[in-house]
Amino acid sequence: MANDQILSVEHLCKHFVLKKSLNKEKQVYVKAVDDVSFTVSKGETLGIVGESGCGKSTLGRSLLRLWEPTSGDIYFNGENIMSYDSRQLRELRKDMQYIFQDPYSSMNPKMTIRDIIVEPLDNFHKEMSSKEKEDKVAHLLDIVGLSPDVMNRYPHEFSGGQRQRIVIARGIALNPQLLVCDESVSALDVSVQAQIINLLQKLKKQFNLTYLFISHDLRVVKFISDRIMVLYLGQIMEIAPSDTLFSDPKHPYTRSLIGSISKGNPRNRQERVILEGEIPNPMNLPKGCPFSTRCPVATDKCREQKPLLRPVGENQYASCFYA
Amino acid sequence: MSKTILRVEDLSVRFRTEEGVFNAVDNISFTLEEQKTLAIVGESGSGKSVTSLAIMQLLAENGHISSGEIYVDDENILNMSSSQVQHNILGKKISMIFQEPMTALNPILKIGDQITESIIEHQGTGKKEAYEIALDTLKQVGIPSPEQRIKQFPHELSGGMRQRVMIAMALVTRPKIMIADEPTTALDVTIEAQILNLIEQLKSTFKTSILFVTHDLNVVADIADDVIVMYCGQIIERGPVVDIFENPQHPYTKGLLATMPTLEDHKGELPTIQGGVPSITQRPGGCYFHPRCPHRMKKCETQSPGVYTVGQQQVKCFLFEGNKEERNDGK
Repeated sequence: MANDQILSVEHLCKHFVLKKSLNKEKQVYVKAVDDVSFTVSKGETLGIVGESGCGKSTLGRSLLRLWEPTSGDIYFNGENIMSYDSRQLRELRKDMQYIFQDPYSSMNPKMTIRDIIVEPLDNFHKEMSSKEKEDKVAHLLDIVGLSPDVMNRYPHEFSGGQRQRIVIARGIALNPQLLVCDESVSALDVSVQAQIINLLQKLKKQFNLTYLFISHDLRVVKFISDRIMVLYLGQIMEIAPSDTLFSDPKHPYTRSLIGSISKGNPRNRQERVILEGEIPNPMNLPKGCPFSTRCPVATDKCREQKPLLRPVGENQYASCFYA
Repeated sequence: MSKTILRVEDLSVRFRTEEGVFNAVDNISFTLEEQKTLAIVGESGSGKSVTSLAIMQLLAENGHISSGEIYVDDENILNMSSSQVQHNILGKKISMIFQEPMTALNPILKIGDQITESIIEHQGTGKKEAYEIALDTLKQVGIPSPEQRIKQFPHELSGGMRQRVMIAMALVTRPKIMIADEPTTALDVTIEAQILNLIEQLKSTFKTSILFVTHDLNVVADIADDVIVMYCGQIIERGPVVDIFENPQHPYTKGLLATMPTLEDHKGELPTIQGGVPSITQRPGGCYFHPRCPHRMKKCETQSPGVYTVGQQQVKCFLFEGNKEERNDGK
C-alpha cells in the first residue's frame, strides 16, 4: 500500500501568532491546524469538511506550503517537501495545484483568458513556442468545455460557472498529480454546480488526478469523495470512507454534523439534530477534547484530556474516548 | 380557507442600467396565507430577492416598480404615501431579515440601541420600557446572557448570534409577515439548523406568515408550505411543497431537483441542466428557459407560454397547453 501513497502528512501544525512577545509564554496563538496526520492514496479523492474556522482552508494551503506550516512533515511521493528550498518548491508547483474558492477574485481582471491560462506554461515550459502554447490553451479550454474562441476575452465577460472552468483549465495546465480544490463549487448556482462536479470527476479519470476536496457542503463532499476527513477547531475528529462516515458515524461531532443536514424531503421533516452552542473561540481552546463544550455525551475526562485519533472500524478513525 | 395576508398582483420591477432598461421581475402574482410559509426559490438573477425588496420598498435607486399591486391586509400599499408606508406597514406589519446580518446591522450602534430604536418608533414606548421589551425578545430568540449581549456591538457577536439579533429586531413589533431573504445561507450547517428551528418556533408563537427567499431546495423542503419557483424574473411553477418535490412539472423545476446531490448512494455523473442562467441583458426571446430546455419546441423560441394548471400546481410551459389555462402572460 505504501507505494500507493501520494501524500503523507505527519503532525502538521499551523499556528498563527496573534500577539507577539519575547516571553514565549505570553504569546497568543491561534492553532488553526493542530497536529494533523493523514495519508492520501494515488487517484483518491479525500474530502475535507468542517464548519467555518475549523482550519480546512489553512490545512489546504499549508499542505502546498503556500502558507508555511509551523511544524510537522509533508511527504509528497515519498519526499519530505518541508526540507525543500524555494527552487525545489517552485518545481513542486507543477505537481501540486490549488484551485481557489472564488473564481471572481482568483483571476486578474486585466488579463485575457489566454494570458491567464498561458501563465503557468510561460513559467515552467519556456521551451514551448508561442504557437505550441496557443494550441495547448485551446486544448485545455476544450477539455473544460469552453470554446477556444473565448481566448481573447476577459474574466468579467463570463458567468461564475465558466470562470470556474477557466480556473480549472489553468489548474491542470501543467499536468499536476494533486489538486487541492477549495470550495470549488460553493459559489455556483445549483444547476451549474452539477456541471462542475461532473467536470472534476471526468478530469480525475482522464488525467489520473488525486483530489483534496475542501467544502462545507456535506452533500457535495459525500458525492465526490472516496474518504472524508472531519475537522473541528484544527483537529481531525474523524476520518473514514465516505459511505461509512454517513452510515455509521462514530464521533459525536460527525453525528451532529450529519444530523443537522436537511433530508430534502418535505414529507419526512425529521427533526434535525440541533447541536447547541457555537464553536469556541480558537484563541481560548478547551483543555481536553475541542468538542467537549458542545458535545452531548462529554464527561469530565473529555474536558481534562485530549483524545487521540484511533481506529474505530475498518479504515475508520475517530478522536473520541467513547466512539 | 385561511385568510390571505399578502397579495401581489402583476408585479413588475424595472432596472435602469447603462445598457438599457430591464425587467428584473416580470409580471408576477402570488398570495401568502395567514400563518403559512411561502418559499420563493430560484438561482441568481431569478428576481427572488428583488421581489422581496420591492415589497419592502427597498429597491436600489435605479430600480422601480413599473406595474402591479401589493396588498397587505387588503390595502394596496403602492397607493399609500411613503410616510404612511413607513409608519403603518414597514417594520410594523412586515419585517425583513437579510442574508448577511453584518451588513444589515449598524456597526457603530450597540445591539440594544438598534432594537430599542424600532420599538420606540413603532410602539411609542419610553426608553426604559423599550429596553425591557428588547431584553425579553433577545431571550426569546435564544441569545444566552442577553443582559450582556444587549450592550455589545455587532462585531462582537458570531454570525449565528447576529442572525438571532436580526430576527429579534424583526419581531419586536410583532409583524404579521416576516420576509426572510436567504437568512441561513451564510451560516454553518449546525447553526443553520438552529436558526431554521428558531424561525419555525417563532412562527407558531407569534402566528407570523413567512415569505422565505432562498436558492436552497433542501431548506425549502424543510420549512415551506407552498413553493414558487422563479427563473429570469418570472414564476415558472408554483404549488404545495410536497407536489413540487414529488411531482415537479416544469422542465426547469425537474432539472433543479435532479441536479442536487443527495445523501443516497450513487456515484458517477450528476444530471445537469445545460448552459447557465442568462444575464438580465441577454435574455432570449420566447420562453426564457428554452435554450436550456430538453423539451423545447419551435414555438418556445418565439412565444412566452401561458400558465396552465396541473393538479395542484400552476406551470408556465407549453407542454401543458392542453390543460386549463390559468392566465396568459404571453407577450
